[in-house]
Amino acid sequence: MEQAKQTGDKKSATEPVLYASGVSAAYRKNRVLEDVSFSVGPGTLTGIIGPNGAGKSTLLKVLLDLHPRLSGTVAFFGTSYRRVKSRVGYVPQRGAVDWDFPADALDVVLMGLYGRIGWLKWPRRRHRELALAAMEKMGIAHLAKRQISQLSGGQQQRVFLARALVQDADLYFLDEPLAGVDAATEWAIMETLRALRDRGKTVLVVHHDLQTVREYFDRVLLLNRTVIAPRADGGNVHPGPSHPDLRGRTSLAGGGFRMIPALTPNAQWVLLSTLILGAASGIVGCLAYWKRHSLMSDALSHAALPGVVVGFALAGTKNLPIMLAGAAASALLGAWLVMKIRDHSRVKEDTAMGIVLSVFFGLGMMLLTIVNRLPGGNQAGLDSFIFGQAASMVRKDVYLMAGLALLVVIVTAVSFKEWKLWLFDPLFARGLGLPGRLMDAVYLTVLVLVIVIGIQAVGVILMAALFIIPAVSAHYWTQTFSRMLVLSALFGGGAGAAGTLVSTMGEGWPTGPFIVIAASVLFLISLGFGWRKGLVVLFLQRHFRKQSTPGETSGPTLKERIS
Amino acid sequence: MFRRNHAKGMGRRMPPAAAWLIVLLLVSACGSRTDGGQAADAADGNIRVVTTIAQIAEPLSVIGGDRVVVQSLMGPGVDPHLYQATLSDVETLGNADIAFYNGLHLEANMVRVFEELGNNIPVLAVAAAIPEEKLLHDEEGAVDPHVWFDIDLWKTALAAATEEIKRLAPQYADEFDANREAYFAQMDALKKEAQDMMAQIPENRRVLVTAHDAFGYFGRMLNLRVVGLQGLSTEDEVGLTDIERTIDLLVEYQVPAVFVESSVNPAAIQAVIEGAKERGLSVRLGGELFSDAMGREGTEEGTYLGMFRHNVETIYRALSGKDR
Repeated sequence: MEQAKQTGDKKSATEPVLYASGVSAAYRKNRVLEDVSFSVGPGTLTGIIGPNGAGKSTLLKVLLDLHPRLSGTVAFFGTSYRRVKSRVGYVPQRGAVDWDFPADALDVVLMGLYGRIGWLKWPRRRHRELALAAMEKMGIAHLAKRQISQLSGGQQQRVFLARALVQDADLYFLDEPLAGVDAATEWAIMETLRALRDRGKTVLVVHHDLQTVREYFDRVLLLNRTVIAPRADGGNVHPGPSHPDLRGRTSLAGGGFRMIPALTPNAQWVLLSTLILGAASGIVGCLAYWKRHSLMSDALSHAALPGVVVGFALAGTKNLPIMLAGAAASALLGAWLVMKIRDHSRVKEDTAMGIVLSVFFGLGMMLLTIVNRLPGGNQAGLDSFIFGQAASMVRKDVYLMAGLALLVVIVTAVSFKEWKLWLFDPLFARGLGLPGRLMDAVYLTVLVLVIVIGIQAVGVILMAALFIIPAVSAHYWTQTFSRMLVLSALFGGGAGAAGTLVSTMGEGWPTGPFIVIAASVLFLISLGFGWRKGLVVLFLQRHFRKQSTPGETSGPTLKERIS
Repeated sequence: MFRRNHAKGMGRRMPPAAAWLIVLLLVSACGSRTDGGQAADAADGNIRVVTTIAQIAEPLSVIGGDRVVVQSLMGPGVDPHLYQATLSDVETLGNADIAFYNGLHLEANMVRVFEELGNNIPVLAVAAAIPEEKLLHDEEGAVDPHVWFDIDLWKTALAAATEEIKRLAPQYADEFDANREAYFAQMDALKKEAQDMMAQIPENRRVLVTAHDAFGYFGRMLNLRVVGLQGLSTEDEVGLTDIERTIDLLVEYQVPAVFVESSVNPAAIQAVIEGAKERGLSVRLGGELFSDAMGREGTEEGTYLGMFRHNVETIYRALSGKDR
């Protein structure tokens, strides 16, 4: 608190803080903004209003380089946005993020300090204190350790405001901060914004309520378009009031498997390999889960198949490095196609993934059939890339998996804070200057690496299972991102180890399928008994609520009164 | 139907990349089709014979001589257990005068194709000619289809196939019979040679470990103990216990070498070698055997007799330790 810096007036007050001239933008062919020009001086509170679809949110995104600008010039503090990013704060719409993300309120507020903490560094105590001070200002300090999914709409908005406050910017953009909040929150937010203005900050607020405009803002920017954009910006969908949960509590499942002393070397290799691979894919699967990419990992696993076959055809022999390079190339091509189809057509992302999955897998099967008929005669075993042969893993597989897992752990641990921000609120992350492209590239590289190394050992289908199931299961047990990563790794590794052990018990039992079954059992247990929204917990909660007095059943918005 | 749905889903604005992908699919689909009818064209007044595996095709081409044109659907390195008939295969079969397959569930995915084909042309499962009591079964009672590894049984099967061809072209019956006798004499000689070689391997080392259970008849004929990692068919996944059981056996008998097969994934056999090494037994990779597929056409291993001899010599070299 002592260190809170006052960075009020860095430059002379004469030059406009924000200057825009002739700005146009479009969603594909629909022009949303046409020739917008304005300038904003320091120490002002400006409202941006207009009917739905007028391009209010788009204007903010265009100004902040989050959406391409077709024409026009924009200047921040007399220079380009990129050079003054740290002086600009952006509060996205509350509905733009997934509030189910495992984080508490303090975590989110801390994100506002990431720019100052520095990339790849951990937040320290003084950062925590700064964040808590900002929460105090917004009247939510007592909610610091509360799960964000358990906050009411108003509280969530205050968290966002607190996050903007700790950023200590000179120019703030707020997208619909007053939408769907209670009167007390609305009042608190406006007080905060006025206080910012009085300290010489510049504030731009996208607003929808014409009644209060005159009272709230010094100036108003009115946006209206005669061209109606057909629902291009996704509308302003806000999540309904979230359910109150039991407090998050984490139990580490398992508790270590009893190592069977008489395990043969082969069983040990397979056990270790699947355990390590399961853990690595559990971690990466967790990232994919919050990137809403569970299906993506499935699609990419399948998309790797044609690359394997082409790699084999080019090398003429079963040269593993070349085949893996082929697999990686075709998986990346699949990922690229998904993005291209999503961005340049009306096809939604999940459909695009479905297309890529089926087309690439079909292509792979076709190439496999052709290659199988080639005179040459050393193609046997290519089809193991589909179903895998987990049981035939040997010592070098253990080392390979261990190296892979080490890489995954390092990548996630070193930039843990960045992953959290990037997954929870990518728009805000870009506003802070987090290199989104780099994060995308690292994420995709790790994903493809795990897929490629995984499928040569256990096959496409098992790989997809190891990606998706552990992460989903882990989400039932925890509300902290770090714990979810650890749990997901434990579940993945546990499924690998358990499946392997079970398969050693029966004569001729296949290893891969048992791993999938073990993972499914873990999922079913989580679904039923998970602390967080497990079916049993939900049932008990409902049961408990019915028995209690009506006053206590009220939703979070009613309970939420600032004291 | 698959493609039509796609076009609908993408609307008018299909991204160029996706369009190219579909074009690529179409082109390659057409490409693989062109090789279909060549057998039919080549047969100019001759009998067109189509078989599944080359173990039937190559001997029949010797017995049939100039009077027949034989084509086998499955080339070198192809696994008949997993083989799926393509459109061009169906076309090739449609142009044939007579078709042979092994039967006994070897070509598990092609049974229906042959049932249909039987309505139009003579179709024979050659292994059906072998008397039931001479067939081997696994623990679950499934029949071992790899009958070509018993030279006597294969003679029965080939004789039945020859009779079938003779019925189609009675005018050449004498020629076929003469060719067959000559060929069978070669087979008998090979059998003698193989038995002599195997007898030189010390009894306790006569253990043949391979990727899948293809060598049951081979072992019975040549007095070898046979162990397959994967069972009679390659359709199942190898379990950890299969690998462990095999290693136990290797250690127990101190077997010096194991073998990969040209048509089966070698990964499991590699795992066996490494696992055995970990338990103090140095096992060599004895070499590649031809089990369900033969060698490349035009080479010695591309003939039935050459393939058989290659297997015998490879096993002899690896297990006896001589002539390395």
